[in-house]
Amino acid sequence: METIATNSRDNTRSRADNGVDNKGRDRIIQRFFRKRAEDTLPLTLTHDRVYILPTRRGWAFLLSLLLMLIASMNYALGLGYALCFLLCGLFSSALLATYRNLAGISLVELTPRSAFVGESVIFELTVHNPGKQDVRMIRIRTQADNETLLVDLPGNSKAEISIRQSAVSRGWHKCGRLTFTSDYPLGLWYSWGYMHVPAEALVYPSPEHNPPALEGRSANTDADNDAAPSAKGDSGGIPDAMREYVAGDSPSLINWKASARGNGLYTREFADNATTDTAALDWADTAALEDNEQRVSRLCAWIVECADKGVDWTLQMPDGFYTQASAASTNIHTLTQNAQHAIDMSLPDSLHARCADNRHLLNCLQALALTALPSTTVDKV
Amino acid sequence: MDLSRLSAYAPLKTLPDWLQRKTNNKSKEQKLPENTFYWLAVLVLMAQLPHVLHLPLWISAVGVTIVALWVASYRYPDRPLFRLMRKSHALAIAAFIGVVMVHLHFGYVMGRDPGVALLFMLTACKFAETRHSKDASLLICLCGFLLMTQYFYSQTLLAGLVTLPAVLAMGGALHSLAGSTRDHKPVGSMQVLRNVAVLLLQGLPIAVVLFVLFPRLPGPLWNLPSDASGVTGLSDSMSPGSIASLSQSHEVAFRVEFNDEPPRADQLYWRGPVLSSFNGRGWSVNKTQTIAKFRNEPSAEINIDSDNLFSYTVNLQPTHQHWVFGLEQPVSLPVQTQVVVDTENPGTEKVMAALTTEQQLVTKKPITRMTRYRMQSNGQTSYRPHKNPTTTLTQLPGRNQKTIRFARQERAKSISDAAYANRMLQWFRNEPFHYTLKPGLLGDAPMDEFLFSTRRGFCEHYSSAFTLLMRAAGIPSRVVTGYQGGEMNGDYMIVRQSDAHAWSEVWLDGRWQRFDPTAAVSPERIEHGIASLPDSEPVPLMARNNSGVLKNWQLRWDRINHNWQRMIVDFDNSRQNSLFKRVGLGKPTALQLALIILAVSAVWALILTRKAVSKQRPLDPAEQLWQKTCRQFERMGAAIESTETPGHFSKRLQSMWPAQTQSIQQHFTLMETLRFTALENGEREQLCKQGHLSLAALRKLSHPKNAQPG
Repeated sequence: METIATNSRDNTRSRADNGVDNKGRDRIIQRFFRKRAEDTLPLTLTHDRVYILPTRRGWAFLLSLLLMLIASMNYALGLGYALCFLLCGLFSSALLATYRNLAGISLVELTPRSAFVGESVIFELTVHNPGKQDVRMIRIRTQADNETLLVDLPGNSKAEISIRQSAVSRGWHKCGRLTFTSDYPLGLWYSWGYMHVPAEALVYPSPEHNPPALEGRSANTDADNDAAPSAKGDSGGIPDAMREYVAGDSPSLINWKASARGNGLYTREFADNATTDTAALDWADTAALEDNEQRVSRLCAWIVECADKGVDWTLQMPDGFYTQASAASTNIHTLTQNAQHAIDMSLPDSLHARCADNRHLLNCLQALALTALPSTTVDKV
Repeated sequence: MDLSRLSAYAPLKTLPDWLQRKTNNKSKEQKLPENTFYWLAVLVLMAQLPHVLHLPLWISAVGVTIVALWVASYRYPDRPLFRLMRKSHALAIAAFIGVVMVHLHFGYVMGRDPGVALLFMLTACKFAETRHSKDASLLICLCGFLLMTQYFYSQTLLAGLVTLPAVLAMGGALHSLAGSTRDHKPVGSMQVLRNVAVLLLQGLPIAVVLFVLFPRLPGPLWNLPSDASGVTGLSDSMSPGSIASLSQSHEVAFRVEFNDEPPRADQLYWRGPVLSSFNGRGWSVNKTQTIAKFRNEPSAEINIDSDNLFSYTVNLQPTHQHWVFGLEQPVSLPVQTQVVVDTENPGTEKVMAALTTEQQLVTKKPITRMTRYRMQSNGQTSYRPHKNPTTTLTQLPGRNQKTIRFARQERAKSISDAAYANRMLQWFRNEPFHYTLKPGLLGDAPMDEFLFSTRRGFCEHYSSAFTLLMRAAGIPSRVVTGYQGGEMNGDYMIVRQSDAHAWSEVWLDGRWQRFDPTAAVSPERIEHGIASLPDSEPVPLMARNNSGVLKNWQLRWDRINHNWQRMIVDFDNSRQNSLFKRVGLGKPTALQLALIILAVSAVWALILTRKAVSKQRPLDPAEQLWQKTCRQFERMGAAIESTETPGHFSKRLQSMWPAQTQSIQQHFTLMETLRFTALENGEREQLCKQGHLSLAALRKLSHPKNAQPG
């Protein structure tokens, strides 16, 4: 946390020092390299976004044209000139063809899909070719991997493409800058264009394999913790879920805390066979592990286990985050911050099938994914 | 705190992507897909094809065989022979053999011709070892260069046409190389061809502009090695049989455009090398002959007969020799010229040859490219030299004793040298001499054998024998070689190798007098060329006068070729300058030319890309009709207001043209239906047609004088 803060302060200072001049250069760099995610959808590769240079084959071709020209000059070969210039014409029209192959393509949609660390984050692109001409051999590349995707787009058609990127660490995973490239049709020219759309997917910590058993970690429900008010309703249990208030619900079942936000009344619901057993998961419980990420993974594994078994749980994180099943509306504050971006905070597909619509689970996982952890040394002190 | 900062992310790479790509590709170089391989094979064969004509047979055979074998081994990889071929060092051995062969044939390796032969072999070997796309790139470049080198040898229209499919194949190879990867369906061959053809056509304007505007150099960049290539033509020596074998070639030696009427057939003696050294068997050029002064004006000694002065322009094919040809007798020296003669400023023209004391036109440098020059001749049979002949012109080496005895006897019977010469000519005419292309071999005393036993010979036999007879009588004489005759084709004359001829020149009364013993034996030779030979003779088919349709086509083809030569092949520095002057460019600098080229390419690029950029979808037919309606009424003085609905607009129009209320209403209803009602496709088209018709009917409305908008 400390280091991050310092970094950001450094950044601001250096930017302020250079003043206006830097701003102009910044804009130029952004114009040419699109390093910041500032593009908005739908986005078309217009002429100011398409760059083109000869490929190595193109350079070789040019060199041989030069040699041919010199030979023609020396021996005054009229037909030599003609052949040389005919190939020059081919080279030039290849330039335009390569440009036309890429220009006009537009990115209509970009949908991120969340994942656990170790899995792949998927970005689903919808690419549209509005022109009449077929577009062939477009390669799409992200910054993260060197993998490229090959796309053909017939005239007036859309294609859906999934880009998989390995999720390396928890937190927000940016889609990053997309590079659309093409050397079709002759391979003599290489054209490329950048698209940098602020799309992010949430990467959840990967659940630890075979974590220590959860036994004996039942929640201290009459805790001294103020942040954990008693959630006991009439039935004395922890609610499984919430639903909108329907006339006739008992006032004692109303979740006042959630309702206080002014979005209408919510009623707590209890499963018939709900176990009264509640697992209290605390960051402090994982102190046996050295590495913060391992601790997060263990917590994650426990949470997933609880969700699997249908056991209630509460989660206490070192940055003050505390949640329990009833606090379903406790949402991640960053959601509002990033709302204008294409973001995905849903459950990863691998979990989605098992624990659909579990708001509490989602909240906890998001907390695990996003919590800024104290550095190990600070923790020890 | 912004939590999104937490996402661990690699720092942005600053390398441009095309650079990054390079490093990536190295690791996963792909093998060539099948269709690319075949495109490359076609390309290589097409590039090799024109060279087969001039390369020694064995070299071209080896080169083509390597390509064919490797195509076969690609097709049938499991045959034991091919497996062995690919595993062993067959390729290295083949390449080595190739180099050795080239060296054996040419005797040297550094030079244009062996260079081309090596390039030919190298391309074949490179094809055989092409595995990856990088090899393919290199191969394509090699093929491009190989294609160009064919123009060292031939720049005819045919050579140009042969290149076109090769260029297509080159585009095809590039296209399939870029357009096919392993996990991708390759583009079909026809589609590839179509794409490449379209690209070539699109590039054509650039090619034309560059061809016309690219500055041509007045001379070569570095001195050309004098490559003695296998060009057919007269040489500086003559032995029995040499001209007869030249006569079998139908190649064009030069083409002539006469300013006025062409000369008569018996005046068409194109003077070439003068052979005055005799070794008993053959004749050769006297190496020590001195060059008379350069003269650009008609010589004073020559009696200019204005009726008989021929001005003409010769387009000489490269001979790689030091002489040029002119009609007898030259009055002016040849002046190098260009096709479009600039009458105002003939400064670029220059005298290109000198006249020797033997009346031969010699150049400083060999004629290595098609050369155009104009000169004048008087068509006479004799001339008066500056210097009297030396005694060497009566030397009689060799063992032709019988001939010498005969000559002395006959001279004694004549009153003068001239009478003796005519007597001998008469003798040739009367004795049963036979003019033939197949004279048979002659022994140690060739002239004795020819004159007194075989009596079968071609022009070199007759001129040689006649000259010898003169020398034996103590009269200075020599052999002149060149061409005799020519064939008119429209406004120009073609002189071919088959018109090669040899005659005698005899020193009589202080003048060199021409004698043509061949004409005495076979007068038809002079009138009709070697076509006058009987059918049993191996005269080239095209030289026959009676070849009919074929001959006709041949002449037409030559005409096209001649124009091609003039327009494309000879488009050089001087022609370019006169063209610039004609279109009012004056003498543009390189910068100006570059700017013109840039401007043209910019316009070209705009035109070609605008088509692609404005790829708007065609308007919906209903929308089209609506816009057309609006435009039409705007022209008629009733523009639609921006706040007006179609309904209001219609009402206003109806009030403006009360007589047409019904048709206007109908039209607007129709548009509404077209726009808002779900229709079958056929129905929609029908309705559209109707709409356009009713709109056309409304066009006839007169302009409302009291139109009140709003």
